[in-house]
Amino acid sequence: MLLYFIKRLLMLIPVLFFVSVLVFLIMRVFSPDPAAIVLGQGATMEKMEAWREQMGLNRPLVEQYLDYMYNVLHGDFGISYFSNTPVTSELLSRLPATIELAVIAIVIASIVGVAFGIISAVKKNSIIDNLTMTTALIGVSMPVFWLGMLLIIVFSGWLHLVPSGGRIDSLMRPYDGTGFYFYDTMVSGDYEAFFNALQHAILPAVTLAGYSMAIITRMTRSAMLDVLHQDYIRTAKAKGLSSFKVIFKHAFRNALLPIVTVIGLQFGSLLSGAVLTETVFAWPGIGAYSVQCILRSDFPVIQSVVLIVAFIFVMVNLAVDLLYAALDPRVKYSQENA
Amino acid sequence: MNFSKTKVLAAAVAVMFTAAAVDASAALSRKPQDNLIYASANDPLGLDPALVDDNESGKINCNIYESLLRFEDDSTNVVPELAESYTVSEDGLTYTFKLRQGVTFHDGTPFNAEAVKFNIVRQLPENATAKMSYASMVYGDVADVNVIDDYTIAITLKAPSTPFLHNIAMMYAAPIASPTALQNSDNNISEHPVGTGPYQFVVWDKGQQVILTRYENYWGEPGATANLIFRTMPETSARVVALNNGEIDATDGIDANVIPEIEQAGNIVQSTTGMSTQYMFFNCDPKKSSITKDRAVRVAIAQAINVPEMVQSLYKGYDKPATTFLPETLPGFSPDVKPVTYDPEAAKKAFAELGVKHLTIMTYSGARIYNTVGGQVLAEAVQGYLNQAGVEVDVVVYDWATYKNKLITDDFDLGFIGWNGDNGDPDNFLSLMASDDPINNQGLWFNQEYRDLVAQGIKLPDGEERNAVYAKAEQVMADDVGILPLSHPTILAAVRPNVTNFSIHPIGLTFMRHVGKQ
Repeated sequence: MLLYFIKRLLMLIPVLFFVSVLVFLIMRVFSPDPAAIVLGQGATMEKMEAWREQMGLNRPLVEQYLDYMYNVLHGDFGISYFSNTPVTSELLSRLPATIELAVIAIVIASIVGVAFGIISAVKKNSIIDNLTMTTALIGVSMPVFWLGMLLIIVFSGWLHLVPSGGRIDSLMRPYDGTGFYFYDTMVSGDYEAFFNALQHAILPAVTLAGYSMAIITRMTRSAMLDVLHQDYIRTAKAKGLSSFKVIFKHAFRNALLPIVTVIGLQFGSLLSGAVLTETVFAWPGIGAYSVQCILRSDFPVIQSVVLIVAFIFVMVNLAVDLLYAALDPRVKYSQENA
Repeated sequence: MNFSKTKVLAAAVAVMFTAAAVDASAALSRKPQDNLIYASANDPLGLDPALVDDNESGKINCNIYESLLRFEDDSTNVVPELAESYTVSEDGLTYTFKLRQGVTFHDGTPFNAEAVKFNIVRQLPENATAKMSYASMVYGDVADVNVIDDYTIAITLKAPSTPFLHNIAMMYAAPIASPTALQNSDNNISEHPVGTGPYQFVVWDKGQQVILTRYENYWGEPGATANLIFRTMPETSARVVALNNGEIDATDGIDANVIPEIEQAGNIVQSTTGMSTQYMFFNCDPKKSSITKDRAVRVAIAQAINVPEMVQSLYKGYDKPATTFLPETLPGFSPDVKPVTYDPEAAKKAFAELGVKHLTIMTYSGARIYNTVGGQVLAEAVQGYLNQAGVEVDVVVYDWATYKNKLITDDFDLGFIGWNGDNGDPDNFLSLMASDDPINNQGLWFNQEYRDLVAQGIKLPDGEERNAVYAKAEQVMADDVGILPLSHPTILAAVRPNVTNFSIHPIGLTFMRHVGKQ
């Protein structure tokens, strides 16, 4: 197991190298020159040239890349062209928001998606199944932007039940802590702020969970249907086991592998930032920020975001693979089959 | 890892972050009446006034920092701020400022002549970084900075420059920051601003909010509200819902479409005549093949477009149709300037005679501060008028960053852009079209008479003679159709009914010192 884990970690090196080369080339070759945008209204051709020179953008691409990677390997992701602040600081200040939202969204999506999927499989071709599958289809097809605005107008604008955006009321912001507001407010015992943060998270989390929920529902239904048709399930039923035991002990456990895989993949993509959800709900995460930086050709930020997202994806996939062993005794990550 | 190890690790992480967290803010009041929340569409780029040029940063910085001079509350006339008075030498080269005494920076260090010198020297051409995009405009002509005593400083210019006094009242490059803070932050206080203004910095949650609190040792009248919170909410409709719900107290960046909804909820919409101009430019670059180099073609295009009708239709009456490059609030504006006016028949005839059958418009996709409907919608409106005059038009659309680069490299006939006035001086507008730089004079229109007039104007002192020179320059540009001025945008904002004294300055900034809540 340990050897497998180490091997998988080592595989990160070529993956991140390839990703870094690719994103570096894409940004440098296809993105517009950032000089005019960085210097804004005060730009002149002369100032733009001086800026490019100062940023090292006039040097050969290979030299620029090697320089960039040297700094990255020393923990320096560079300085944002626009804010003049270290990229690391920009990203660290936004990551907690993205992680909190992604965790809440994946929890909602997993609980509801798995429950709907099981019900749908057990009640195959019933009204409930049709309703669930139609809902899942709508969930997959509905534009996030539109759904988000709809929820804001109804639940915030008309019913005044929840705030329209942001992570927490400005006045409730925890000042001492990690940037993870749920954790910080709990630790400090400020339950008013905790529930305020929770209220703020409801609409964006539901919006973000919608798509993943639909995917998980469909995958759960499909996996459960496969298992429910197996001989051992028929045997279990024939032995007179209760439906609950048959479904959850014999069927669901065996259907878990593809469900865990899809949950892992969805979680990975949620962690990489939910661009539209973050924009609509003014959620200060990494997704909306990345898009702003792409539009402004802020090379150092984009390169770093892509590297970090690739890293997160690989790590989430590794965690899912390791989870397989816990779920299925047949899966062993021994030295032989690693 | 067992439970106790996990707890130890969690505690260590918590301690690490706690140590780095802001401490001064723990006592901020949560009472609604002590906090004024102002939402905008974008995060500020930074809070070091030497390093930014965007309005979102300026709106916050103008409450943290002060300059030697400031603009009057509702105009761009300059009056003393950190300077108590100033004199100008007879040759117009040396400006001597008597500084206000008893002023301290938010870090407790004293404001004095050395602090002013430090801020200027930091931005002189030999020291300025490439990102200090306003340094050359404000301090590029400075020959010498001489500290006469603790509270007197003399600034000598290389050549007379009438805009200098306006430049040092701006919120870019001109504000005076704490030298101690700059020295402690490697010459960059973007994330830890320290000025002398009525509010001091508390915290910046990136992408979320900047919180300021009243500076208790402020030299002047203290801020009316205890805390100012500048929130970032990208979506206009979300900001409107938040305002109508009372989650925020004020917002800007709204367009005419949402005004009825805001007013129906009992909130108040404020409009300020902005200091900006949106215009169409013609590609006159001699190195490019565009037919708009020909004045007759430019005249025909101007005749084909009904500017007042188009502006009324696109901006629902909030933006004013432009007849000149200078907005009417600026000195030098003249209502007597006569532009080429709408005459579709004459345009059609001219296009036929000149053999003009096809034109290419290059534009940007999204909205800009001077064009709330976006570049593509504007281009399509112009396309419609030109089609009616018998000319086929291709509209090529790019995102803003690409557009700015394509303007330099690509062939096109017509394009759109706008200019937001920086300092209330007419030279700030008119010198653009006297430039050989395609970043400023996008179409590279060239007219020697115009350039001579602009060069003359910058040296003349404020007054009738200078205004007359600029009015003449405007007429020369109108006759030659160097550009086609389209609109002077109105800045729209909205506040809750209990917010008092809120207004947007014509330069687009919000000075919040007197803004309170009932």
